Amino acid sequence: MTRVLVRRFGGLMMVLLSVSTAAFVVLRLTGDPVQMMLPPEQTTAEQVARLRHQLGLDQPVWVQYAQFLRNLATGDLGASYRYGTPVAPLILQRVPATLELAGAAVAFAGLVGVPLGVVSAVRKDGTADVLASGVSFLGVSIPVFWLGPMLILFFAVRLHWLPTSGIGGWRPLVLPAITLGMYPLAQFARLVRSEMLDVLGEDFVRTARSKGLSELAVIVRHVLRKASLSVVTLVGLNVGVLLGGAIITETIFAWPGLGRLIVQAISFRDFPLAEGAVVYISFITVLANFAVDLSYTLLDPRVRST
Amino acid sequence: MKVTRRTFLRATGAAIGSGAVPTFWHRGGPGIALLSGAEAKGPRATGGLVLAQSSEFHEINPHRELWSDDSSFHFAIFDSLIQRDDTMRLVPVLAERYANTGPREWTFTLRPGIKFHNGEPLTSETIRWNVQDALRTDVKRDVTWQAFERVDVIDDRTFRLITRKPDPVLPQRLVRFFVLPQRYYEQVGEQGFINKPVGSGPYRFVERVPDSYVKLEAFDDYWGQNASLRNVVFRIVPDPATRLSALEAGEVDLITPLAPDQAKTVSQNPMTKVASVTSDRIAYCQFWPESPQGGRELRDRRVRQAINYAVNVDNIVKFVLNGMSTRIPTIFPATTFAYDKGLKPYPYNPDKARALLREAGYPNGFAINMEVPANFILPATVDVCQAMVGDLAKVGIKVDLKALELGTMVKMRGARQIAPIFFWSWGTDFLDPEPFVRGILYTKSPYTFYGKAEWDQAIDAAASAMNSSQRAEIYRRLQREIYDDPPYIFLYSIFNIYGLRRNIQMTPRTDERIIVARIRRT
Repeated sequence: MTRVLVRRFGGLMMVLLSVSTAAFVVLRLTGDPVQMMLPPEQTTAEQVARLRHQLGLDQPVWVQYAQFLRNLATGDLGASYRYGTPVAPLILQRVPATLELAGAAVAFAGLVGVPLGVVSAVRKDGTADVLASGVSFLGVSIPVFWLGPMLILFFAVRLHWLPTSGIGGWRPLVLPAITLGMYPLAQFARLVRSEMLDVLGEDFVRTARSKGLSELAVIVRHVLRKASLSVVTLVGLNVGVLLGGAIITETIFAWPGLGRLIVQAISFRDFPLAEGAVVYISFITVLANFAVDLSYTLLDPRVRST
Repeated sequence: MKVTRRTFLRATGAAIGSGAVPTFWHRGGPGIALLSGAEAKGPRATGGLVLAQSSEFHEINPHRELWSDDSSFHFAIFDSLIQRDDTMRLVPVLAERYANTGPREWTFTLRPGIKFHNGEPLTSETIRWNVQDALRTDVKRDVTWQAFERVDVIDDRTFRLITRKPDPVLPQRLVRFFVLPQRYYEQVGEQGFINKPVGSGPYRFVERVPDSYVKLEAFDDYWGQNASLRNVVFRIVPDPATRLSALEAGEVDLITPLAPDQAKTVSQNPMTKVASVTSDRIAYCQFWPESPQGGRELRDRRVRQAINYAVNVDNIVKFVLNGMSTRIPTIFPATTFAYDKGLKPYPYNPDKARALLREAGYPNGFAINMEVPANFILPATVDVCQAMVGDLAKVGIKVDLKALELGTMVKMRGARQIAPIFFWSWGTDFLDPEPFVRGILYTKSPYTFYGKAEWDQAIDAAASAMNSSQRAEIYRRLQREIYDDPPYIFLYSIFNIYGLRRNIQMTPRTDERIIVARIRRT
């Protein structure tokens, strides 16, 4: 186990290094933060030069890169150009909102998607299956940028049930969570359906039934458990993606999460903030994958021995 | 505790099942709840106002840098010596009176008994410290203040502000020179001040969640007329469609900006209305005959004139911008000092354009590149440019139009790699031509792409002429000269457009400011 952890940690470091290097290079190819920071209406060439010097952007790129790596090694992500404050707190400040939305979306997807998949499999080719397949088909097909505004128009503008956007309490969370959760919901439903159909035909299911167990017990305790391995993988991957921020959903619902911070950092050419955010997201993604791998050993005794 | 497969599954199931994740992270939430959603059906909290704006505040400390998007917040919390009323007249605010008492000297008398929100008195010494702070070079400070040299304190209420050079636009400059409390600032430091700003304005700061909202409350001991609405919330809602929905749902009272194509929806709704006014912000296309992407044809004045004749700006304003812009003959905004009303915009005349092109040696036209920022402070930039491309094709000029991300375009402009024709915008709250001509006509400016030595001289002469009729005369001459030898495709002054709930009274302002203290609810 320790060997696995060490190997994983080494891999994590390599991923962080290559991703941050890529972010460093690509960002520098795309724009000039100094030009973005100073209001051109009142700026002179000397002011541009002074700011460039203050930010260290007048140094050769390799010197900037060496400095960047040195800082990264000590866990210092630098100070944001735009806010003038250290990057790490700016990112961490957004984490609760991101977590709140990601958690709600995954919970919604799981609570609706898994039962939908179960019903679909148990009543294969029945009306319930057709309906459930329809829902999951819509879920994977409807783009977020359409679903979000439609939900707002219907539930906020027409019915006045929920607010259009903002934060505070559970009410503003409902529409963005549905919007963001719709795609994973469909994925869960489809996956659970196909996994369960595979399992339903196996011998141990017949055995369980012949023992006289109720159908519910057979489904929940035997079939669903066997199918849970791939569902956990999917949850893990989704969590990794969602914790990196959901740019479009956050923008539509004015949700102050990481996705918007990153978009703003990039469009403002706030190099340290954008680099810091990229490092954070790759860290979270690798960690989520690792957690998924780890969970296999708990879910499936066969994995433990290998 | 040993984690077994069973306990792991149970814990995971419980976490998903209970929906614990979202509630765990529930934060108290702002007064937004008080003013939105639930209350949209019933009566509102007395005296509240919720505004939705598109972008996050850039700078809470107004000495750091001045951005348009921040100004409504700054004007609510802070005061400056001089401000503009809704008709754009300069009026003394913290200053009771002021006068230009020498070429580089202005004498001010402060109103008596002004206090900051924390009770700290505002005196001449406070102003002296503020000017010193604005002139710091070790931290980010807005460049506008570089015009100041120092403050000489005469007594508690009287001081002299000395400028580096004669500065005829000093009063305009001071409109956004917000006065901060020296003692509080020194006590909490800059970051502490940004976390909890204190001013002497009609509202005091209550709470801020970055990228989400700022909450203010009326300051009861304000020296001037009290604001009529007690609680003000600025909400950041980046998506234009969501902003519009929030207005329609009655969640917010005012949205900014409103795109011209949304204005119709708002005015047709019985619960909402549109307020608009000509802005001090202009749109134009800049010519650069020396672009590495080509465009040598533009060296000939007749070609630049021909392009101005060929573009049907009136149609663009009417059809692309739904009439919500004011056509201008040059780059002087219709609202600026010394705007030449006698000068008429280039008429749409494709025949004349063709004749000029023939005369210049291009009877069959030519091909040229054009660039436009797709996501910009102005609405419908790409649509406007596509209309121009169509007009230019009719006189034989084949334009290859590229819509670029703003940051990429800013970089290309800075590195001087931009196309020979590019769409851009300029605007300041000075309501004076100086920042316009200094920025995009003065050849020493990094943002000028076509200029002349004699124009530079005129710009310098006007910048230090303390006699306003003399200044006006210089600018009038300059307008005629750039009209004849156009460095730009002259386009329009945009409208500042707002969506309001029917019961909100607000005068839209040319300078893009929203002065919340002056907003009323009927």
